[in-house]
Amino acid sequence: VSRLYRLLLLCFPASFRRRFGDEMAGLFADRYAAARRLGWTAVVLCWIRTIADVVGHGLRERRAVRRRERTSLAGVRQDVGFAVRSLRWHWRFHALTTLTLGTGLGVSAVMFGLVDAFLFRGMAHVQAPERLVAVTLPGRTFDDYVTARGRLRTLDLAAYRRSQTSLGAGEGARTVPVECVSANYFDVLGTRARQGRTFSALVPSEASTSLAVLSDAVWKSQFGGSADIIGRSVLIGPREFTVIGVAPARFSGVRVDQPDVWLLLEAAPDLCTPHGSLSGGGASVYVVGRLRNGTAVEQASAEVRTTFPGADPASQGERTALLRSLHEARLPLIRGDVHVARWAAGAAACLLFIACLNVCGLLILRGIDRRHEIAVRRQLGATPRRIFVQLLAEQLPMAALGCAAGLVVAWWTGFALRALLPFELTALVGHPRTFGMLVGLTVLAVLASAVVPAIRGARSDVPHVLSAEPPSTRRSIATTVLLTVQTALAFALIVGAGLMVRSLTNLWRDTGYDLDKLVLVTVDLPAQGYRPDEEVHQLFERFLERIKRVPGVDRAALSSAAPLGALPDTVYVIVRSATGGSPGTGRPALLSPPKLEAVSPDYFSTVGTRMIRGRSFDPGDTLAGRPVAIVNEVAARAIWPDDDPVGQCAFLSTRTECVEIVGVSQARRYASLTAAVPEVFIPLAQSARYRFSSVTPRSVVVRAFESPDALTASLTEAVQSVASNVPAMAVQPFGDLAAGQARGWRMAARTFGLFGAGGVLMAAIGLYAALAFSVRQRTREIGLRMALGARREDVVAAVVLRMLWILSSGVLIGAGIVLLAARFSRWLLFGVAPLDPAALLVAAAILVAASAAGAWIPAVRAATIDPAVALRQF
Amino acid sequence: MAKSEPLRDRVERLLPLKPVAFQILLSLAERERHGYAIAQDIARRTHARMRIEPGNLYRSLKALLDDGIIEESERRPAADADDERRRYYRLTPLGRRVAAAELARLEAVVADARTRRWAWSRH
Repeated sequence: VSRLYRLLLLCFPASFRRRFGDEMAGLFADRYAAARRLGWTAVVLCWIRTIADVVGHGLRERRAVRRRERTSLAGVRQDVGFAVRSLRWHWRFHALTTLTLGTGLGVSAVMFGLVDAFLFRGMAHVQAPERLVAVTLPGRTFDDYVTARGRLRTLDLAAYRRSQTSLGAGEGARTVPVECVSANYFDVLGTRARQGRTFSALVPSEASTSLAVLSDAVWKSQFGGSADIIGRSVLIGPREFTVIGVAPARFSGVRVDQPDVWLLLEAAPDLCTPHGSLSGGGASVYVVGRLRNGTAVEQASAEVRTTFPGADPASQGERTALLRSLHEARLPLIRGDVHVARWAAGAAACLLFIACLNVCGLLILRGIDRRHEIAVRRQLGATPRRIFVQLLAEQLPMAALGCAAGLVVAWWTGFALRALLPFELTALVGHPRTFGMLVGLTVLAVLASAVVPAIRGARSDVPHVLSAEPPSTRRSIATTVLLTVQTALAFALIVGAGLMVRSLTNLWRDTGYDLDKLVLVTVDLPAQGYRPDEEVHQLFERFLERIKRVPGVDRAALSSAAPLGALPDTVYVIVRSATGGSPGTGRPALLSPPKLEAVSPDYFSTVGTRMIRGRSFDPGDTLAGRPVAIVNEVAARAIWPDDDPVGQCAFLSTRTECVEIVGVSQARRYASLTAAVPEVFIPLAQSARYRFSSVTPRSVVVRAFESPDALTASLTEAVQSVASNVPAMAVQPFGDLAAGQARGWRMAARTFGLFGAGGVLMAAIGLYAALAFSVRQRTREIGLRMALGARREDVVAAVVLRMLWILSSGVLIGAGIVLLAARFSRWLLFGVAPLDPAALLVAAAILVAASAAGAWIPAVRAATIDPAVALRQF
Repeated sequence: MAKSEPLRDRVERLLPLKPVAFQILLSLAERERHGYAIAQDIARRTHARMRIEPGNLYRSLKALLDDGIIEESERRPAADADDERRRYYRLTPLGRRVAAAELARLEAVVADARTRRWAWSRH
């Protein structure tokens, strides 16, 4: 019975129930017991009366509570109105807080949006990406894919492979990234063409014809977005391809970087693979699968494992078939960018935090200024709670303005970042998730910065404030703590920027190339269908002769490879020492086989790679001569850890002919700027001896006397004057290639630098506000001291001492933050310690300068206080 | 006191009291009581003619508390007679003034009523 009554009590508001519920239940129990003694009619009557009582009064009480809330909401409306009016009176204060908050909010939103785009956002124009999986087949070959496609019942498979080729001919030709795909690729991804069609509905007779789908970007930039593009023929590599469609904007398949052209893997093996053929082990392909209806990932995974049983997962390692979620498979491709984006987001969060602290400090100071007003309000009957609500409500306009400023900053930051990113960023700022993030951050930031000042304001001591007592001269501990933390974070940010810059210069210095002098001309003839090697050799010799005559060219040399990702495929070769030492046989094994590069005699002097021992190649190393080779330091250390490599005999791959090592070259960066790889060089003239694939010349390295940028046009002209029908080539200064590799560090350096500058500015503003305020508040005290004989220097020293105290503790804490952060970011630091003295000193100097600027005006004001005027305030 | 309103105006504003509220004030006039005791006292004084239900009683108590006419008392009776849940209420000075004013108002009403000629009682 009593439980039933408790249920009925739900009619009352919760606060009422908490306060009176127990007593009411007690009273009811008594009444009910009395009614039971009188018989069942009394019980029924008692229930009727009780229900009428509880329901009637409960609902009336609820209505009353709602009415009261409405009147207090009207109060909030009043507060907001007051705050909006006060915007005009204190516009400088509000402009400062809005700008500070907006900056922090904007950059944070963009950075979080970036991480979101990298990590969590689905692939553009791909249907149900969560049903897609990446399938790694044992041999990763096209043949494996064909087998798997025929056998697997749980998955629809498609294959793709990235490559590069030329688009167009002559002047307007350029090298473009190509994705070669199986015909069902677009079907499996669920992507529809924006114009025309994809490969999905091919008539069988079309399957082996030359068809192409263009990217939206290329369609717009190269063909002006013209509507009649469908059906046009376009020169891709050496052949004409018919354009059948345009892919939707921002479609990049399952990867992050966008290809410009899609071709059919089976119809254009010459453009898609290094050896021009899909069969055999020559061409690896990536396989993506879509789970068929009603299939779970585990089911598909089990089927893949049973269809391709690896001999032994432990020993075979990567050779076993594997099925992973696409998200997981995508991650390694973008790991570097993800790292950087995460750190940049961390830096942005730091900046937002500084902004919050700054605004919080300003609000506290303003609250002290407004003590009188608040005290009057309290005297007029406002409760502390009411004042707390008022102070919070006053920040609503700040929130709205800060959010708007954040949008502007976000837009601008996105714009500034765009150049540094490997893909289009257009959707970043306008994305609803980024916008939601911005709004969420605004709420958090305003709460974080306004709650403490509001509590302090609401708590302020009424009689003390209203009395004639001078305001307390006790320095606000809270303000000092806020300023110290701000300084520490700003210091950490600039040190971070310094470390990134140092890493970047280290990367630049240790490449093993003269980056600022070299131009790379790549003419990837084999990829464009030129087959007989002799023809390619002769053509390149003519390129070389012609290029050497271009004014401004110091030296030039030929190579079968190109560093820093300029050419996609490289050849690796196993090198064995004739004296028995070979990788994996007791000697320290090479982690990876050395990269093979065939070069012309002047190569080393042209690129600026030093010979450490022995000699370089010379014109005497001909096809008829003794086979010779040069290894770099890394390879030498791995193959001959104890002996001098020069003069040793080595075997390349499975060949039994002895090749003499004539020199050891300096270790240098090849694929990435961070690590040197083992390399072995052979003379181009002797490359025909080995019949390795892809050791035909593919690039000309040109050393300029002056700036390499000025040479690009004349080099293009020179190559075209030799062979006017060369479809496309790339002329790239080495600096640009390295810049592409260093993108992560550059982005980190730029974001840390920008955010650090913002942080320092905010810290300086905060310091200025706090010091200026304390000087103004202590005017009378300072005047009294001066009247009693204090010198001006003492007064200035007091201001400066406080600044120094804040600064030194900030720097110490900041250094701690850097040390802590460095433990998680070794990857980003290259050749520089986390507590790098130079970076620390520069950061400290910047901070001192900014603080001095912030403290200057208050110190001067303190020094020029006129004791007579100040004392008159008594 | 911070309240700027003159006491007399506040008293005037609170009148007339609802019958239940007046009965509660009457119960509290002699001594402090808890809610249950108030209900019993009212029933006793009105010879059970006025039965006050829990919802009505406590809502009236809350309204009186909010208006500052009664207040919760910290004093408790002897420990053995006390129930932890029960709160004791007593009149505030304002409450006494309000009760007195209500009494005066009712007396005026009664006095006025007695001066009337009652049509059905004389003839």
